[in-house]
Formats: sequence, C-alpha cells, structure tokens
Amino acid sequence: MGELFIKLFEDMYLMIFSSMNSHGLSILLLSLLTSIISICLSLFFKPYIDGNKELEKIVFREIKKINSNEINSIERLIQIERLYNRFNYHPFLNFFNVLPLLFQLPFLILAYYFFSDFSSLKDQSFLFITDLSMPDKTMFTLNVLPVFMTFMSILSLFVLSSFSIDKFIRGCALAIFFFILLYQEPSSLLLFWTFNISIMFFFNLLTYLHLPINSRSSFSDTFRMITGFLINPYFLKIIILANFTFVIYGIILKYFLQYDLSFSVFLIFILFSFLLLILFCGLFFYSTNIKSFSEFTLSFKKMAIVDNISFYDGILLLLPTSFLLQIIILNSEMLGIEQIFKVFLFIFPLIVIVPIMFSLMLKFFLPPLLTFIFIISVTAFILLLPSLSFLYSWYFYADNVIPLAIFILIFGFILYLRKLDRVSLYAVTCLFFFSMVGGSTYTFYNKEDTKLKSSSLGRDKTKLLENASFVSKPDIYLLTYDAYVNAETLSNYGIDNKDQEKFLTSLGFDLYPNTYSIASSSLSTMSLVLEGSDKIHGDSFRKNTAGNSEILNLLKDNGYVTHGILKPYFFLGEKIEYDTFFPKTYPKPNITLFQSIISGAFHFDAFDERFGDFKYEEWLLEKRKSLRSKGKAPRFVYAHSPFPKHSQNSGQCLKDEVQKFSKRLKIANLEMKIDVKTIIEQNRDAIIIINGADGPYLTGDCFTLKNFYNDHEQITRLDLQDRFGTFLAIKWPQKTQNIKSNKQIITLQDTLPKIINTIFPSSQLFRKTISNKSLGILGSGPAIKNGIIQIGINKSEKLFEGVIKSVKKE
Amino acid sequence: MLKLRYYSVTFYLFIFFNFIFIYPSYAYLDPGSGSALLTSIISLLAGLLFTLRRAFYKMFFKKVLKSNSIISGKIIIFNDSAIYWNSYSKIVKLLIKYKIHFQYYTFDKNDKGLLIDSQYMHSRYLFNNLFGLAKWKKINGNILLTTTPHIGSKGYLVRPVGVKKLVHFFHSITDIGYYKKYSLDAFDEVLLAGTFQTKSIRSIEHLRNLKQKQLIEVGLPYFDNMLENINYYSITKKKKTILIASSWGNKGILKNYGTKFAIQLSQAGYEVIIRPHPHSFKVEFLDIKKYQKLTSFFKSISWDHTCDPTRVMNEADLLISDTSSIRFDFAFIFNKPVITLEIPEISLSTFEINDLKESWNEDLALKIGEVIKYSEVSTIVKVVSNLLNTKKESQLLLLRNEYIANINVSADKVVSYLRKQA
Repeated sequence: MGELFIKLFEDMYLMIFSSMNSHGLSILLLSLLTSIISICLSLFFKPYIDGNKELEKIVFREIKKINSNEINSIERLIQIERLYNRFNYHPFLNFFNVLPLLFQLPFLILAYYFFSDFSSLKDQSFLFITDLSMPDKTMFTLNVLPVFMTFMSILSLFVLSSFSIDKFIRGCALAIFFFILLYQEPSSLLLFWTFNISIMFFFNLLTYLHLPINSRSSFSDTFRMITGFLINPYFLKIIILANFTFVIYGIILKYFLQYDLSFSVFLIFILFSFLLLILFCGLFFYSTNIKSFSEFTLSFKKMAIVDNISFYDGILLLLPTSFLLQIIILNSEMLGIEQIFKVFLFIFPLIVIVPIMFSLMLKFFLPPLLTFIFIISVTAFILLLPSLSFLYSWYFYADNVIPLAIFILIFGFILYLRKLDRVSLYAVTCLFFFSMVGGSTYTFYNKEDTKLKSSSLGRDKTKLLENASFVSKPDIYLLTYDAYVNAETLSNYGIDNKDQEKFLTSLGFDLYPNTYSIASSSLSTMSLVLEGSDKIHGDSFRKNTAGNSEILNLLKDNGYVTHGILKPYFFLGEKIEYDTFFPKTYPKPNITLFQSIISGAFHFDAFDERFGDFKYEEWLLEKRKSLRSKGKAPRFVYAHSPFPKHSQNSGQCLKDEVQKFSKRLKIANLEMKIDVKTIIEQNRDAIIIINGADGPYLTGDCFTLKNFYNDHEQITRLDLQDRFGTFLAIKWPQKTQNIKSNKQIITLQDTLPKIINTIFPSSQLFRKTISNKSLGILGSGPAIKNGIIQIGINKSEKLFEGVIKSVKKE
Repeated sequence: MLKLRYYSVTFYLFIFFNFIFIYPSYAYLDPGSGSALLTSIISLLAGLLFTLRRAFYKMFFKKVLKSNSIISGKIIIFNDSAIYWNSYSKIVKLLIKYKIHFQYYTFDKNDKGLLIDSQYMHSRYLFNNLFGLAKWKKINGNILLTTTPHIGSKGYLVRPVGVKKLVHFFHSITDIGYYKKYSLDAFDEVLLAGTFQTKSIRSIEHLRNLKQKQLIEVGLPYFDNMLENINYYSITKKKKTILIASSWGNKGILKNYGTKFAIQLSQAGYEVIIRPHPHSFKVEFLDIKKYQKLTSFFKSISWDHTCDPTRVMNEADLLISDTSSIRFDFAFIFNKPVITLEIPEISLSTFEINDLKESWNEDLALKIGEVIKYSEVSTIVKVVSNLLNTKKESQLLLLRNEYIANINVSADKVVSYLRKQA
C-alpha cells in the first residue's frame, strides 16, 4: 500500500520534472502543490479546529479551578466528569487539533521515502546545492538548509495569534528537535521541507494579519516578551560557563587525545555564543522598554527559575548514570565483572561529586541549582556522545553540529521541566533511567553475536577425546592478517594482488579461493576458528582468542606449547591461557573505555595504536622471534597481524578509504612474505595457515550497511565478499598433501577441524562437518550457505565467481 | 488535569529521548504543526488516563458515580448565546434554590450557565454543527423556555419534536417590531415584559391568521439583573461624554450614517465613545476596521469593544443610537436622555415592523429624548446641547414604572410560571 503511494508521488514528481527539466525547480513546485492541498484541507476544517481549541481552553481553565479545591480524588473525578458532561467534552476530542498535520504528514512521509531513495538526484545541482542526493554542506562542513529550516520554524512562532514565552520555548525545542532529526538527510528532502515550511509561514502570516487587532498578539509585545526573557544575567552567565567548559574539554581532546579540532562543534559553539552576546547587547540598547539591567535581574528572579536546590534534585544524577550504565552494559562482554566494578566505581563518583562540587564552588557566580543542572547536562552529554557517534555514524563527533543542538536540548529540557513541575522531572528521570538500563540490557542480549553463542551444538567433546592419540605432531602456525581477502575480492576494489597469491603457491601453499567466514568480525571469526565450531560454548568470544578454546586445550593436553601474538583487543578482560603471549602489557579495558567515553566514540583503533603502550614495530619483532624459535615440544602459534585492517567503523566511508586500504595491504603482504620465509627456513614440515579474519569493509557505508541500504534485498555480492569474505592458504606437511578431504574447506571455521582430523585421525571430534551457514545481515536470515548467496541482488548465485578482474598495476 | 498534562508532556519527551538515544530513528514530523501533534498526543494520553481512572472508580465506587449521571428534567431552558446569560441567571438561581430539576442547553461554549455545577441543573453544550443540531432535535420535555426568537421559523432552528410547549421571554425593552419576521410564529406562549408588547403580538397573529398565543406578564429578568448588579459611580469630567451605540447590520447607525456625526461631536468638544454591537466584530469586521481608521486622528473619540456595556453607559451623559433597545436600558436604568437616529425604512424590510402599522419603540423614543431624521443629522450638535441642558430624570422614572411590570421580582414570576407548567 505504502509503495503504491510512493509510486504515485514519484509519478507526480516525474510529471513535473518532464515539464520543468530541473530537479531543484521540480522539488519546489512539488512542495508548493502539496502545501496548497494541505492548506485547502486545513481551511475547510478550520472552524471545527478553532472551536475545539476554544472549548479545550475553557475546560482546562475550569479543571484547574477544580484541582485547586481541597477535595478527595473521587469527588474531583466526579466534578471533572460533570464538567465534561456539561461541555459535551472528552479529551479524545482534542485529536481534532491535529487535523492539519494529518493532511500534511502523508506528503512529508512520502517525501522522506521518495527523496531518500531517489537515485536520479545524484550529482544534480541546484542553486548553492552541489548534490541534491546528499546533505548540502554549503558552509565548510555545515549544512545550511537545516539551519534555514530551523530559522523559519522559529520565525513562525512570531505569527502566533497568542504569543507566550511558554509557547516560544516549546516551539524552539521542537525546532531544535527537527534540526537534529533532519540535519543529515539529503538536501532534496530539506529543500522540499524548508520550502513547505516557508509557504506555511507566509500563509500563517497572512492569517495573522487578517485577525482582528484585539484578538492577536502584537509584534511589539512579542518582541518585548522575548527581550525580557533573554536579557537576564543568568542566561549570559550560563553561556560564559558553557564556553569555558567546552574550551577545557576541547583542550583535553586536542592536547591529551590528539584529535584534530580544526573545525569543530566547540568553535561553532563559541561563534554561536558570540553572536548571541551581540544580539543581547543589541536588544538591550535598542529596546525602549529596557530601563536598567537591574530591572531585568529582578524580573528574571521572579520567574522562579532560580529555585533553591533541593535534596530531591539528586534524582537528576540518574540521568548521566543511565548513560554510563548503558555504556557499561553494552561493553560488559569486553569488560568482565571486575572491570565493570572498576569503571563504575571510577566514573560514578565523578558524576555525583562534580555537579555538587561545582554548584558550591560557583555559588558566587550562578545559583547552585543552575550550575547543578548545567553540569549534569554536560556529564550526560559527554556520556551520551559514544551512543550518538554510533547512531549517527560519526567518525569524530566534534566535526558535526548536531551534538551542540542535543546539548542545548538536554539542558533546556531539564531546566524547563524543573521550572514547570519538578515532581514530573524526577518521575521522568527515574523512568528514563530504568528504561535506558532495561533497553540496553535487552539490546545486549539480542545482538547477533550473542544470539550465536546462546545456542550449543550439544556435542560432548570430552567423551570423543578418550583413548585417542596423535599420529604426528607438526608445528602449527596460524598467521592471521586482519581483513585480508582473496584476489577476486581485491580486484573488485581495483587492487591487484595476484602476485602475492603466486608467491604463496610457489612455496607449496594450497589456496582456498572460495572460503568465507560464518561471522563478519575479527573477534567472532577467530573465536569460532579457534573453537572449530559454528557455535560457541561458554561466555565469551575472548575466552577462545585468549587461548582457552577447545582446540587449543586439546593441543595443550597432547603436549603442544601454545603461543599467542595478538592485538590487545583479543585479550581484554580475559585470563590469558597461552603458554607464551605478546603483548605482555596492554591497556586495561576500563582505562580504554574511559578514554573512549571522553573522546566521544568507540573506534576500532582505540584498542590498538591510539591508546596504551602497544607499538606495531615491537609486536612485529616479537612475532618474528616466535616464528624463528624452535623447541622440543610441538608448537601452536597464533599471530594476528593488525594489517591490512578494515576501514574505521564510523559508518561513513572516508574519501580515500580504498587507497588507504591498498597501502595497508602492501604492508601486510610484505609482513606475510617475511613471516612465511622465516617459518619455512626453520621448519619445513610445519602446517602454516594464512588467513584473513573478515572483509575489509570498503563498500556501502564501510560498516554494517545500515546507513546505506533500507533492507537486505539491496545487498550485492561484493557487499557480502566485503564482509564475510576471507583469505585462506594452507601449507600442508609433505605426508598429508594428498588427503582429498583437506581440499574441501568451505568456511574458515572448518580449517582447524580439518587439521585436527589429519593429525589426530582417531578422534571423532570433527567427523561431522560444521555448519556453513553464515550470519545474516541487516536483519536477514543466513546471508551465505554452502558458498551460495541467500539474500540480495545476487541471491542463489555463488559468493565467489572465480573471476579475477584485470587491474592496471600501479 | 493540568498536572496530568504535565505528566503527559514529560512522558512524551521521555519516549522521544528513549527513541532517539537507544534506537535509530526514522521519525519524520512537521515542525510547524508538530506543536499541535504534541498537544494532541498529550490530550490523547490525558483522555486515556481519564478513561482508565474513571473505569477504576466505576468498578469500586459505582454508587457514587451513578448518582451523578444525567437526569432529564421536564423544564428545558435554552440559551443560544452567552450574551443573553443576564436574562437567565436569576431564573436558573431560583430553580436551583427551589430544587427543581431542569435541563439547560446552549450553543455557546462561553455561556456562564455551563460553569454552574448543580445536581438540579443538567446542562449541555451543543456543538454548533450537524452533531449539535441532531442533539437539539432530540430534546424533549414539557416546556422549553428561551429568549431566542425564530425557533421553528424557516431557515432557523427547528422546533424539537419532543417539546410540548415553546415559550418565549424578552431580553430587551421592546415590542416585537424589531424582531425579524416570523420570529415568534411557532411559539405557544410569550412571557411579557409589560402589557405594551401585547399589541404588536396580537397584530401579527391577526395579520397572519395565527393561533392566539397565551400572553403572561412577568416583567424583564435581564432588567432586574442589571438593576441589581449595576455599580453607579460618578466621574469628575471636564467634558460631557456622548455614547454612540450601534446595532449590527443594516439597521445600525454606523452602517447608515458612518462616523461623520461622531467627528462633528468630537470637534464640538464632546468626549465620544463608539460602541458597535459585539456581533459587529464578527460579521462586519472590515467595516468596523474602516470606521476605526477614519476616527483614529481624533483623540476625543474612543472605541468600546467590551461585551458588557454598563461601564460606558455609566460614564456617558447621553446616548445616541438607532433602533437598538439599548436606548431604553440607558434611559430606564441610568435615567439619562437618548437621541435616536432614524433608520431609512428600506433597511427594515426584513423586520416585523415592516408589517406593523405603528411602532411602540419609536413612540417611546420620542418620550425618552429626541428623534433625528436622516436628512437632519447635521443638526446633531445642537440637539445634543439642548438635550443635555434639559432635566428628564423624573420623567424617565415614571415611564419605566409605567411600562415594565414586576420590577425586581420578574424572575420569581417566571419560575412560578414554570413550576405550574412542569
């Protein structure tokens, strides 16, 4: 049904376009047409709506009187019911007021779906907009259309028939809310919508001017009320305090966490504040009604916004606490119980002490309640940033103006509600707290990886291991290169990697060009590989990658010495069970988490280079040392290189994402060549496994594709190769090279079972082939099964076609 | 409910914060009318909470709620506009005092009658649309008392089938000459302000061959109400104040004479207050705006927009009006003279006066002041000056007692009548 309407909308648009031959003008005309239809329908129902509003006003006034009487709740209910009867009224009637919206809303929803997915707008320019399918980004990285939209929304508040500061505040809050909601949408949609709002503004202006003078607010009264509200010392002091706070925070980011703050939200904020100050001064000196500064101080004090701080205001501390708990819950897998307590015990006192401390310290500057609410808003905002970064796919949130709007909204919301009805504020804070904690817990237990580990194969491995013995005990090297994929996938990005594969085959490696991982992240992939399973028993992926997997334990029980040379990311929060491992020291998860919170985002590289003592060069030396060494006992070496490494996981591709990957691939290739040569020189009969852990994530949004596709039906073969695709090359010992079954590896997770079956034939452990169904993507069922794609555009086709595109060599 | 509303606001914001902070949001709303949506959501939640709360109390306190349900009364009072509440207020108070159950209907949400919460008064606001009219048709009772004429006339409200007797009472000192044609044709009985109204009613009945209505002299409840509530006060003024009160529509002096005479009076040194009929602001707003613009340069001319005219009537020394019955209120309550500006007959073709041979109102107009013909309006300054210098107070008091029956007890008479009928 919805599709039919979108089709009609599209036909309407195309019809206009065929005569206008300009996408920009067609959007404006379409917006005009929809506005006219909405206005006509609104005018038709206006008498009903106006009458209803008037009735509502009278009834609410009378209810207020009833509520002010000291009567019991039954008597109150009876009186209200009698009032409803007399006025023939029911609260449900007020839904009448929303009729104009119901006429407008369908057009807007249609526009949203249509413009978000209308490919013809790509690279189409109009006026100052260079690409109608993208946000306009007219001023540096700032989108101008959403700013203009917000301006028009606020302007429309001035033509209300009865202006009040309360309505003004609510209107501004709503305008900011829509700014946040639509800021990153395509400029075509913003153009449509902003034009729509502008038309509505002029229509409302005409209606306003047509109203009898005595039944509308005059512009001078409106201006005086706003001036009276804005020009007060507390307002200015809060802006000064906010600037000071953000400058300090900016210094921490720039000089302690080395973020580039060339154009950031803080600069915008300072600029914005400066403009506000100019506006205030202008209003102050221009307005004829302002006699003295102290007059306004007095009037503002009367507004009761500077209530005394009460003991119950402590409930507000639940707001930042809820965001902290959300972060902890969603990262609890990484942290573990001990670390969770450490994080909580470290950050929670800060959440509590800082607002109280600052409220007391700044008592001379601002009333304690204002400072308390301000600091709570700042802490809540900072703790919220990681979630926002994830939600909006920001690589670095400070490049964006939305956080600023969100901060203003949080602060304004708390302040407004505290003034309006503080009991409601406390109630809503408690509700918010419980819903956030509950929601986060639910999200945590329902994420895909967790679902995966909740089921079990049900095999009793211990029994299968009884009375079995190894026929041979070759050294096993599992050399993983993060996000390394086969030549076919690489050729699709325009990268030629055939030489590397030739190099491996020349050394006797068998290539497995059709393998893929059943999972799509390094951690889950390698955890399943080390477990030799499609399902994980136990509590944590990291338990396996930290050396405590079934296969590693089996090898250890049979005399193997295990070595883990990994990225710290694979150890966090787990007891390391490798006999030897590197790095010996790595950043504590609680410290990493704390730094991530401060920086406002959890980046993939947060656990590698940026934080802690870990250095790639040191890691590489340690790896080579381990590969070169040879002991009496057989060895299992798992080395996981951070190169070539997949894209950053912000959910937005960088402009040169593929080029960057290509450079990193060269490093990985070189590392691989030296690794292989080092092993072969020392240990010709070793089993060497070379693999990638997941895809490079270079297509779509360079992340989960949630920002790129509406559903999984649009996913392509390359998208799947880009996420589930891996690389696998194995150098088998001379004696086992002719075993046919060894050639049949479909999923990466099947690799170690095949090796165990070869060197440990009496074991029944891996006689049953493990599942080759991959996980889903964008809410789909298994994306790949038996090497055949199950979803999207290339459904029922092979994941790998076996065709390597010819690529011009650099 | 306001408290409930605040809770609903916070609840909505809570949902909104949860929505954007935990889950990706694809919500899309119109900022312009978003405010309306917000209010509607609040109302919807408030309605839901009220319904749930009511259901809860109904379950546990059935008897208490049941005793408050609507009981229909045999007496029905109907008021179509809040401006006539003065006529009903004393009657309603007495009916409640005597514990007589009655139904009260109004088409005006601003009707003060709706604010009275009494177990004897079963009030209901009727929507001014098809739903309201449907409800109106279903009204039933022994007697329907109203000051609204036209009920049952073509093009106006139909007479409810379930009403046995339709009774009219007056809300001004007038005969039916200035009622629209056929106004009282469908009525069964008329409660008279005084016997002076009999003549015009009988003439119309005779002219149209209508069944004779029962006419009962009760007096004027609205007049009593005004007398009771008026606060007489004296103002020290340098200039004499002239009040110009115009009817709305074709019979109004503003429509027929414009503002020229008002400007003349202003220039002659009088303070002038122009008071259009409150209905004018609804039906002829642009004309009023035009008149206001024309007089805006004269500081001694002001406009009165209030619903209650008593303040300006108290301030004024003399009233200039048209056919409006405010003339007699001014003369009989404040004992001050009145000038009537004649309205050309052509403008009165839709009124009963067109069918009547003589007009009681115009006869009385001569007794309470002066009548100026359309062609002689330029003499107005002179007439005003003469009239202000003539003492007419005792004469006006005598006239009042002659024409209006049962002063101060008219509402008792009406209620007594209603009790007998019900």
